[in-house]
Amino acid sequence: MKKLFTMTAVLILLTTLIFSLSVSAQEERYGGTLNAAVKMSVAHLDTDNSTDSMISSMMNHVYEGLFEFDKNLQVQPHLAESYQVAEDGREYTVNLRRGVMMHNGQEMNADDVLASFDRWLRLNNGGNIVEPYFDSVEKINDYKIIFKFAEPYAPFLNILASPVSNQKFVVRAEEIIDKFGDSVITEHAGTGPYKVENWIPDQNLTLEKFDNYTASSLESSFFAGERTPYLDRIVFNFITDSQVRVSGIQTGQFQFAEEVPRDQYQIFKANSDINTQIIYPDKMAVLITNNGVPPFNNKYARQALVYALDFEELGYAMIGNPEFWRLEAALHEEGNPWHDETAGEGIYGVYDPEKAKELLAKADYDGTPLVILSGQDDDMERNGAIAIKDQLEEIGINVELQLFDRPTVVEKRAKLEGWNIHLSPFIKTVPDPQIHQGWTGTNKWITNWDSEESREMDEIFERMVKEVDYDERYKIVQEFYDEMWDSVPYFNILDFSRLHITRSNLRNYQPAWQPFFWNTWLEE
Amino acid sequence: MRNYIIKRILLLIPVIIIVAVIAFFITNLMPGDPVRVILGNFATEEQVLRLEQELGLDQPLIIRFFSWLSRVIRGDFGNSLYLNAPVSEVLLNRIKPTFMIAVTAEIIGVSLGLLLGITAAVNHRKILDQFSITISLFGISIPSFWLSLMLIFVFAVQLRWFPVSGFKSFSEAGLGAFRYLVLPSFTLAFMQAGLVARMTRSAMLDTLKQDYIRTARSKGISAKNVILKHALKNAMLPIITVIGHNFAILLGGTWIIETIFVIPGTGFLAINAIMRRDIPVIQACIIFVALIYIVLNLLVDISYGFFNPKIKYK
Amino acid sequence: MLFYKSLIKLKHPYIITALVILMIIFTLALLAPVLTEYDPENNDARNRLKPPSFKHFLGTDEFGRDVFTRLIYGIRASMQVGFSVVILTAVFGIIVGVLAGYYPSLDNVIMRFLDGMMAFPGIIIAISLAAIWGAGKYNIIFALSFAYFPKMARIVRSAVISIKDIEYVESARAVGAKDNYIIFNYILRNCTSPILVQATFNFALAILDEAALSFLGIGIMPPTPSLGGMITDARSYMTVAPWLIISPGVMIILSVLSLNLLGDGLRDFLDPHLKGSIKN
Repeated sequence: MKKLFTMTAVLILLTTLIFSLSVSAQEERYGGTLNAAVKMSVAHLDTDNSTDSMISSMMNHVYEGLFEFDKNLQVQPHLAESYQVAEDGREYTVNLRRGVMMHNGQEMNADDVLASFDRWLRLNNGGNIVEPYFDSVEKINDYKIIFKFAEPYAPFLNILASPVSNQKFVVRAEEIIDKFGDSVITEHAGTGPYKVENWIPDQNLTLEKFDNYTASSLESSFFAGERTPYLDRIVFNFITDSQVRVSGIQTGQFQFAEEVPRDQYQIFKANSDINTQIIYPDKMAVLITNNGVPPFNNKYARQALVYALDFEELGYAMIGNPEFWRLEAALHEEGNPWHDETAGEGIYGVYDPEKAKELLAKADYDGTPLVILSGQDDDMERNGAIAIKDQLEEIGINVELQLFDRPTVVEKRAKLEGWNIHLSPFIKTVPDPQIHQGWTGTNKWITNWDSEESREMDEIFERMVKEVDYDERYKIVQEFYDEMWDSVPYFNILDFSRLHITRSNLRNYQPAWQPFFWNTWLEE
Repeated sequence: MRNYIIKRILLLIPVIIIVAVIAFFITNLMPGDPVRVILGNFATEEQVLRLEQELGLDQPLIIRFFSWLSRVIRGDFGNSLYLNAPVSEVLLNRIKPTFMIAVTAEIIGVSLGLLLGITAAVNHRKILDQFSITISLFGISIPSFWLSLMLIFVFAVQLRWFPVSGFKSFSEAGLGAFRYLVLPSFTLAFMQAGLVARMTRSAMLDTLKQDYIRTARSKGISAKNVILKHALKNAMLPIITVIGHNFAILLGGTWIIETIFVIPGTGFLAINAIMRRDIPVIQACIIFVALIYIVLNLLVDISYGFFNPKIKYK
Repeated sequence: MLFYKSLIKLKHPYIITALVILMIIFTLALLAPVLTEYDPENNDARNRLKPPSFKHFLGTDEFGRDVFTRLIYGIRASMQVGFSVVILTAVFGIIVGVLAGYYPSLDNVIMRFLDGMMAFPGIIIAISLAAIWGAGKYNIIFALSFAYFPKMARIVRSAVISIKDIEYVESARAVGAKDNYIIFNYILRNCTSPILVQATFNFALAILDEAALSFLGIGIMPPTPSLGGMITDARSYMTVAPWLIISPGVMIILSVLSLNLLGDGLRDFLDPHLKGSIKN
């Protein structure tokens, strides 16, 4: 009897223990160091002085925006407490949150915001989009600012929080900006949940928990809302080889690995130590033509290219596993307020080599080999270039493929002559159609597009920027899609998702377009 | 002796100048615009021009050469275009991993090579000879990058004996640092062992055939003693030469191996610098390897006297 | 035939094996277009990463291309690079080596220059030059030749020096023979052995280094198949498609190994005195 009693007691004790263990496993836990393997190194950590989105992706932990995007790509006030739009979009009044501590020990106020905004407007690409329309900014008091425009300017808040490259406006301490001015900032003081502890170029960036972090009270959702720094330390390791990132997760060396081969998806899923993180919506594969020189200075030649390519086969070649890509003609994904189902009808995804040849003849294409210029370091870009060459040659078009390292590609692409086709991954989580203006109109980005059609495109964007009413603006966006698929300055071949993997002891990871680690914790 | 060394060092001056000229012109004729790499994809013309002026890249090539040469002689390689730090500082920070891997590889490679070479020579035309020859032939015939990928797959991914990549210094990880050294060092050592083994074998065979060894043998000195004392000492000259020459090949190998194993050494730095057109860093890395080669071979020449007192320095 | 019989006499079964393997590899490379029904660059991405089967007996790669086809075209490219490098290296090496060895006035200048060049490991020169000139078959041929020729020049130079003061050369000079005549008829004829041996090793080295350059992405331009390039591409698929990385590696080892064996054999056979010479 006594024996039975002891045994029962032990059993009960054990059960409770196991139960409590499994419960505590679900609970948030403070402390620990997270080792993340990211795919490439950065030149510096100053987002205003670069367009390399890798910088934002890490520095999001250090600097925060006045506004940030939530899971549904809705803009939410973040360092801003509230805001009002007045005068049909000519005036934006922003009230700042009070008592927000910065890494230099001071409280954030309007002066920090004004200094940061001035620098952003001059240096940052996002700022450069806003700058031509911007009039002035007025400080009402330490916590109230009014941004003024001469004409109604609809996309302002979306661009302030833009997730594209490094466009987002973030608040830095005024003293840092005074010290560095326009040159690259090497000391950092922001409001974020983590501060820069140590940066070893080409090796790693170590961020340390900021003890006096002042969180937003909104519900957390991707970049918006409450951020809790559970981890003591985040180390971003720069690992260029994807297989090394994968192996590091398998062996427990890393808890997060960015962009791993999608072909190994099944293997990852079968491994209980690994969680897969598919990013959706994520990116699109965009084909850019050089519209400044023949044959693609003629719109019929550009249309011909769309008909000449088998997009589905390109999907297999560029991305592989069909779970990770889908055909999509619009620049905003399904469910996004700026998505248009009818975009590209009759041309997008229509594989018709005969029509392509007809159109090429109409464009007086003389058979000069087309030069595809591509980098080697991005799989989508490289494999896409190889597959496009193969497909075009199949239907009798001569192609010269030029694969280079990144520096050479960037230099060659910046020139007017010497290339015809280039592929580039564009981010799909574009919050506002105005963002496309940055590369779509006359002589924007690298298309060298300067013709009657490009000026028509400019005109569409001019109207779009002033329209604050959603329905009216949507009509203009539809016009943009129509013009885009008629004059084809560049085109998106398909949408694709990146695959990240995390070690299963990393909890509460959210698969956002840029990885972030506040609100995540490491299980014992 | 001292005069000989001084003379040898003076003879090196034109060599070093040629090394500098080659290093400068190779790197400055590279296509690719470092400024655009630093600024990223969407950079504007204004940003590009501003940075070009800041970095002095708008000057003509020949002017840049002479101002570069005068600075390099004083040990100043300028600033890295990408890392925002003086090149000499960057390079110094990266020497330790390369040094540790190269030295470990050299020790493994030379020991293994001597072992294989002596075994082969002593067992001339027997099965052990054939075995040693085969192994050393594989050593010089396997592409190191392929071998390292295979080793990673078997020993790091499947068996998990060693980490897949990375580097830890002894101060960081204690003896655990060895775990990071094993795979990269062994990859480099394998080729080195092949080269040393082949040289050892033929040098030993040559000396073993020489009269005085035969005499020693006939006098009844045990075979082991003969080999170690006499034959090996006499075979040491060509073996040292091959080690001196091949250490540079080993350093060249670190360019690829460090890239594969993500080891923050000078080789990884060099390949990254080439991919980014970080010209000052490439120049420093190239000159670094060449200088090591030059110094090492100077030491080899001087050490001849130690192993063969018969050599008189003129 | 005489050569073959002498080899048999040498009792070197390895060399026979090496020659047989090399023959097979050369045949594969030469007859590549006949041996396969596939095109090495033609994609069929819907059938990507298929394991070895009757249809594709080494499987397919990430573009659905036949791996066997790419392999034999890859070795074809390696052989082209190897041959060209051997010839260019020999030509440059002989010219520079003879100039240095035959004309003492040039010797010092040329030797200092060669010393400077040889302070760089060949692969480093090749990587830097290939990075300057850009990827492409011809560029790496020139880069590798440039990296290898100093070594060849030195070998030729020492051979020339050891020969030029021998009596019969002296006597030819005494009867008024021109330099050209002496160089071609006396000196070069007597340097063929070391040149041939070094050329064989250069061939092996060129195949290895071409693979390394292609592996780094500065070698032969994709989609043209190359063994090193195939290995780079196969890295990401090592766990899901291991056949992609094994076959090009084995092909490189086989050809380099046979060439090195052949070089050893030639050295023993042509010039026993050279036995102790240092490779690389």
